[in-house]
Amino acid sequence: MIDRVDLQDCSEKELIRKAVEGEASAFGVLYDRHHGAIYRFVYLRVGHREEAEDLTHHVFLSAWENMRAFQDEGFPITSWFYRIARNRVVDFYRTRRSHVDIDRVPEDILGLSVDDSSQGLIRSMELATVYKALLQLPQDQQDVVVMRFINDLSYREIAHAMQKNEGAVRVIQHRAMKALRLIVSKNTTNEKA
Amino acid sequence: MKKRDLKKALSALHTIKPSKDYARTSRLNILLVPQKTDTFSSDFVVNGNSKHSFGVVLYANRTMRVASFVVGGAAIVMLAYVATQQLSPLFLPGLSQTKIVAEADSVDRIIDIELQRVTYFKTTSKESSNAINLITTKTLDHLNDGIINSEVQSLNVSSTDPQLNQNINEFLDVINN
Repeated sequence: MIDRVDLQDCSEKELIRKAVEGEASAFGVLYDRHHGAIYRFVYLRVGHREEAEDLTHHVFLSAWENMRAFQDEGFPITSWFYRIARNRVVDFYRTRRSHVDIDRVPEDILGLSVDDSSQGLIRSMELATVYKALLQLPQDQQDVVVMRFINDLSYREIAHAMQKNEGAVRVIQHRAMKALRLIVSKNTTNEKA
Repeated sequence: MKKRDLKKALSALHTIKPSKDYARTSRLNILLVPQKTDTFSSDFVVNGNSKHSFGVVLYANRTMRVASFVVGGAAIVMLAYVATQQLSPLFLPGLSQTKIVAEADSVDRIIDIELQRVTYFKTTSKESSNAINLITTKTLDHLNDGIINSEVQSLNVSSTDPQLNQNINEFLDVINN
């Protein structure tokens, strides 16, 4: 227990060093810090709880198994986790599912607004509309939107995770937001009609 | 929807999180797995971090070994094929083995016919030679004295006519000369 507390206080650099040396508990702390964000990223890409859990598990399993080869480049380790996650999602669509059902909104998203008031319902509908619009974007744009506006990554981290330069990430983000607004307004008009 | 509202809606999705049970089980299962001593894995290379050069080197090394085995095997198969085809005594471009066998059979039949003709000519020439020999020899067996006497006796020729005897002697002289 004392070790666990000590590790929680460790810097990320120190945790990585220990994990590279094979210390499982150090990797466990890294898992605790980052698995939520990676799960969210995967979940928003595949739109299914069990599949997101399965893919996220494999992301961290792969990272742990290959931890000895990790070399610190001055980027947060999350960039590496995101990179593995992106590849897992691509593999998922290539081998198991060719598309995602854009009309189906997962209950987890509908349940985010737990308020039963009319405001809560409107908020819930709004989230569903945005989520459905997000799924209609190209993969790169989805990745950037989720990493930037939902998981709060910096441009530098996103660029490293996507193996692109920061300028390219900004361009993708601009196009994504433009397309997203267009799709949302179009869908809203259709629903009203 | 305004850009600000859109960003606000997106940030609301930040509250999505995995269940605690799943997180605990997954963490435990991952940490029970031993780390790989060999740094190569398909996942790792696909992620393509150039800094992870050791894994890439191992991958390249394996690939080269596999490729060399494949190329070596292919070279051996090709050499065997070329040796069989080019060094074969039956190898003639444009001719198949079936055609060659058919041609050999045809030659065999011609040789048989020629041998039969040779045997026939050998037999007939021997018989002709004997006949010619008999005809051309001066000491003909059918003209010897013993045979003539026996033929005379069988004919019972008895003549006292001197003219007839004279004629016979002249005739015999002509034949003998």
